[in-house]
Amino acid sequence: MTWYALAMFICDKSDVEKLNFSPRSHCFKMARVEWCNVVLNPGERDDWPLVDLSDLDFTECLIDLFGPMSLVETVELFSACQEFPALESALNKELFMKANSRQWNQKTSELFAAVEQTPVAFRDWAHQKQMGQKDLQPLVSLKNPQEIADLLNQFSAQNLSRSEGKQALDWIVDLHLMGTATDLIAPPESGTWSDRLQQLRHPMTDTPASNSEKAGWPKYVQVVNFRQGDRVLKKMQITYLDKDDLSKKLQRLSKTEPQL
Amino acid sequence: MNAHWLQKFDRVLIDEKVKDGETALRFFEVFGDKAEVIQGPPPDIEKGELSAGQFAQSKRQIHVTEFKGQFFKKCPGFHKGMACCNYFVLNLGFQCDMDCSYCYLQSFINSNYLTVYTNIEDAFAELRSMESLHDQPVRIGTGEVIDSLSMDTITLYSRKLIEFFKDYPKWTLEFKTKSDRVDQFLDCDHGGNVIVSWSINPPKVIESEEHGTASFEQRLLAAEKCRDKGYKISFHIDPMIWHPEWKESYGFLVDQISDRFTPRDIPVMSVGALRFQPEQKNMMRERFGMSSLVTQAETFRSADGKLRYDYSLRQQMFDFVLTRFKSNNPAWKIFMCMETPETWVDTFGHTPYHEKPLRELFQPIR
Repeated sequence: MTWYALAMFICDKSDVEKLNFSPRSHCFKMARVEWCNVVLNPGERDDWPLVDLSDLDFTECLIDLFGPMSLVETVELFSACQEFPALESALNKELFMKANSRQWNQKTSELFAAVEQTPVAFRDWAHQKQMGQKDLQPLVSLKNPQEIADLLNQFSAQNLSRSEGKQALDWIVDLHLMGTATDLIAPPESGTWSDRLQQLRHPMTDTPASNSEKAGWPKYVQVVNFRQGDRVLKKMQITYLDKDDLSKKLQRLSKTEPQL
Repeated sequence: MNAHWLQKFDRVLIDEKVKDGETALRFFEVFGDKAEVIQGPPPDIEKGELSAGQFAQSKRQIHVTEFKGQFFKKCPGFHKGMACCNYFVLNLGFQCDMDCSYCYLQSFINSNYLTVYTNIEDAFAELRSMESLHDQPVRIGTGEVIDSLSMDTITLYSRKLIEFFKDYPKWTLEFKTKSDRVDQFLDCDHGGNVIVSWSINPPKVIESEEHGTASFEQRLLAAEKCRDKGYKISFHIDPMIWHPEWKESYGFLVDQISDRFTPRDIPVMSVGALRFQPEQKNMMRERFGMSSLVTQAETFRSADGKLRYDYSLRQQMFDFVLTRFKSNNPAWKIFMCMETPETWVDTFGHTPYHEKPLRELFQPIR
């Protein structure tokens, strides 16, 4: 959309309503765009000219106005449109989602309803990390994600990477549905949250990284258990002074029979 | 036919193109008013993945149509790094009317219909054209993406398949099921190359996780009926599911099989442990909550990307079953399904290629 094209649609209205939506990233920045008496980009400056695009297709207006959107932004946009029956009925969700390389179907619709119920701080994090449909799907297992709103707020403050967050969300939902007390699931005062969640979720088979093994090893050897995928492996560290010391210690080590 | 079972289906859509065929006519006969003719695909199929509700719906709606793709395929367990037992699959439908919590179909079904293909003659033509395989010891199963026998009282495909396989004595046909529907083919004159096999678990796991399936006892009774008619039988103790009393449960299962069958009745059995694609977890949790032994399972990502129990726990479970079988009778032959050669070595002390009774199964097809 160009300014030249928009000039034809400039209008002078004061009774317009505002869409309760402000995108976190891109937005058209030349004018306030109005469709059926609702300003679609109200977060922008009030002194910008108002253009009425009600004669154009609403969904295409949105696509042009906001450009590519994250999943979270799309959830918020669809939610904001619901407040205006004219916009809700004019919105072609399939078309909008297709323009954003996504599909609109029953499964997506359920996910959107769940994401909409999450705290803003969580949505900010999910937008920032570009969390996709599969990443956020665990939320659909909850009757209402507001049940874990406190945890999701704490989640947002943890500065988790996308993959850490994806795994943590899955474990949080599991643990909540298994009836684990919220204060146990919450981030611990010491140690990492990820380790805490992993231990809670795998009480029978989990081996924390700090689980060092004595089992009769000599003092210059430290053995630590760690998980790699579906296996628990052992990492051995040998302290030595120089080459001679190392060969002596390795020789002694080869004769050691630890009680594993 | 079991009226209670038929009642669970809400609708049966029959493709206009196949409505006059033998299979479609059977569906009309069985379902009466519930069956309707449609042109083209069902109208309510959406693009993309199914929601949990739509997946549940796919177990209550049937679409009877023809299949335009390739019927005969290599088993999906055939992946680089896995020990492969030369299994091929012949898919005469898609989706299953039973509802196991761990079912892998939950990770890739994209139609809210259980589909039954009517053009079985095209499948036979495809098999006839595989001339290079006619003299190979190929095992072909029909229970990969649909239970081999649960719909068979309507389609009666088992009878046609048994007849067809008489012409291919080197091939083995395997019906894999969790039902007890065998009466419809027991009178067939078979070529001795048909295995009727049951995916089986202890009663506790069946009750908790294998919804809508035949009970443990019903499956063993059906197996006895087949054995008595000269069919080879098999059991796939797969997926083994951990629970606090797993040793008692699986010990009972092994003893029941050992007491009621002999290694002559059962040429080979398989064991496997719970495994699923990570994406499947969401669907299982949405459908079965966290009260299921499967959703509660402590799983970790394994080398092939699937979530599995901890490696040493799997070893313990396999070892327990193998030891129990062998202590009952050393002649039992058991292999592991979808496990790495490394797991084989840790459990058996060697790969399947080194165990004489299994060598033929695992030998690469020329």
